[in-house]
Amino acid sequence: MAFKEHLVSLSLMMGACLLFFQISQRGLSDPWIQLALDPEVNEVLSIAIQNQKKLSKYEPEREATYRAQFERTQGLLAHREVLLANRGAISRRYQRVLFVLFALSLCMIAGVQLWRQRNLRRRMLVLQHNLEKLAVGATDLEPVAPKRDLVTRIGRMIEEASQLMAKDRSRLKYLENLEGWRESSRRIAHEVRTPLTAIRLELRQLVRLAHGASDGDMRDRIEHKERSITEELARLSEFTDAFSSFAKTSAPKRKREDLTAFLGEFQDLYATAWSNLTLSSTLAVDTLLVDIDRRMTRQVLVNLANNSAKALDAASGTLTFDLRRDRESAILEIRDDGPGIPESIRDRLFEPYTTTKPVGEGMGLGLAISRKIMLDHDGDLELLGSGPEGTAFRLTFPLAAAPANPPESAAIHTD
Amino acid sequence: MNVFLLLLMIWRPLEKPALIMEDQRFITLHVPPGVLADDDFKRRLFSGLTTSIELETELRGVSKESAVSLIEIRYDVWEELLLVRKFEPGGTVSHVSLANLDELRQWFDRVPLRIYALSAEHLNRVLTVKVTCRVIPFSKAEQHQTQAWFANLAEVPDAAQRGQISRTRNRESTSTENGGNGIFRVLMTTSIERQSVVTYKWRWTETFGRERP
Repeated sequence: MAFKEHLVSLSLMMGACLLFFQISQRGLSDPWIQLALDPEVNEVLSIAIQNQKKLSKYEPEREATYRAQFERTQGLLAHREVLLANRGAISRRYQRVLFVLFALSLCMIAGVQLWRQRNLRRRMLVLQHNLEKLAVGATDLEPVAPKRDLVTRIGRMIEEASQLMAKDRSRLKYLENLEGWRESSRRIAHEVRTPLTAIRLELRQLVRLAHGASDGDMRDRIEHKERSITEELARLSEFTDAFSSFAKTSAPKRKREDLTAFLGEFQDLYATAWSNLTLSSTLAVDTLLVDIDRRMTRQVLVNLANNSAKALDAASGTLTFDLRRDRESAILEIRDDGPGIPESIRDRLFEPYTTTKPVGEGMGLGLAISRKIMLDHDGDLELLGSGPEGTAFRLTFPLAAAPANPPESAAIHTD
Repeated sequence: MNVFLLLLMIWRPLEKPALIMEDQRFITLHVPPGVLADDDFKRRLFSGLTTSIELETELRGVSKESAVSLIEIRYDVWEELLLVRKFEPGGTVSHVSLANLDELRQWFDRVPLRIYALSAEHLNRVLTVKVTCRVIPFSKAEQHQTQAWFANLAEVPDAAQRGQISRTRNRESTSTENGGNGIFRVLMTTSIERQSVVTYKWRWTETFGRERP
């Protein structure tokens, strides 16, 4: 309803209330004024003072007492007579004061109501704008002033919907981008692998011919070159395999697992896998059921641990797993105490071929594959933060099914 | 129609008093005792209140000028005496004690009240004299005392709740405390006004200073 309509309806209601009050208040206040200023009381007081006078004549020794009583009663009588003479004015003033007080109270109530209405309208407009923005996919929503009401709840829901949409869009964009990279990798792998096989065959042929040669020295030199070429071919083959593996990342074969138990097993199994890395964990006691592909999830964890171990280089460090439940998700935070990721690559960390390693030592596909795996699990892999004190990643897994009565969340710490 | 006729029969207008010149100097009149014919006058008077008869005289002819005369009547209930004070133009104040209302009526008939002090320029001119006579049931002092008493009345319930004795009853103080209902108290106490219960207006056109035919 528009503000003006509210104003009109409130004014009408106030008018009706005031009219009713004005009609009824006379009937309410008059009996009390009548009671307070009853002329009969004055007559009684008048008789009383006459009696005081008479008594003082009968008991002259107590005249002073009677005189004092007399004066007191006479004073009271005089005051009442003054009031009685002003009865009309007092009654009118009393009614007017009550009317004004009532009108002021009504105005105050109406003012507060209008202010609330206006405020609500303003907040509803913010909701409307936010919904319009949500409809066109914009994410810069206006904040709704927080209050304990339905508008705030709706505002929060719109905000959550917007965040989810933004997340989905980012995920879709990432997957589309990744798909492009995977296609390129597949083509490159294919293009490289064909001549690589031909070279390998030709090389074998050449070696066979060389074995038939009479010149021993020449044969030795050819064998030496052959080993050298074979090594380079093996390296090329490794790269091709990496490309191929990235291109062929398959869909996860998910099974219901207890993530707490899975992480415990991982920690036991890989406790000594990295000589410079100690695994530590803070795992939720309660069962966290998730649908995961064990092999692929392990691959993600191994990838992250590999990166941490390589970043530490010769130094030793700790990799901490922190598992907790957050509403409908299981959150696994993995943090190391390494030197951190350079700021220049943090924004494109999950893009393929982004690496801090020297040329020839890594393709920069590990994190891209890991994120792809997590996205395929309907979860996500995000960089929480990185600095000189270490790097933290967050893995989100959607919970398979919440227990009927989840026990009080507690944590145990194991090294 | 019948009611109107009945009212016409009952209604007796107060007789306009005659103006008398005293010593070629003052305009005087005898206040008609009928001004005290108000039903509540006797009751109020015998409660100890001071009834004031205020006469405001306006003279037109030379220039517009006015003067005020006052008669204050208070009944001393203990002594059973009527104490009358008269204030006249020129600063004259006189007192008289009377035994009862009959004596008061006689005094009104006997003693004229100066209402205006004439100057030479007023003499032998046609003047219009307008007198407004107001009967006010209590004095200014009594008004203030009642206002203070009334203001303190509002404190009584609070004091009673605290189990204390009302100061008003003990007459310890007449000052008001500023409580939450202070404004309400002020509004109510200021409704006690000193207004006339009855007003008479007389008008004469006279020439003073020569023998009347």
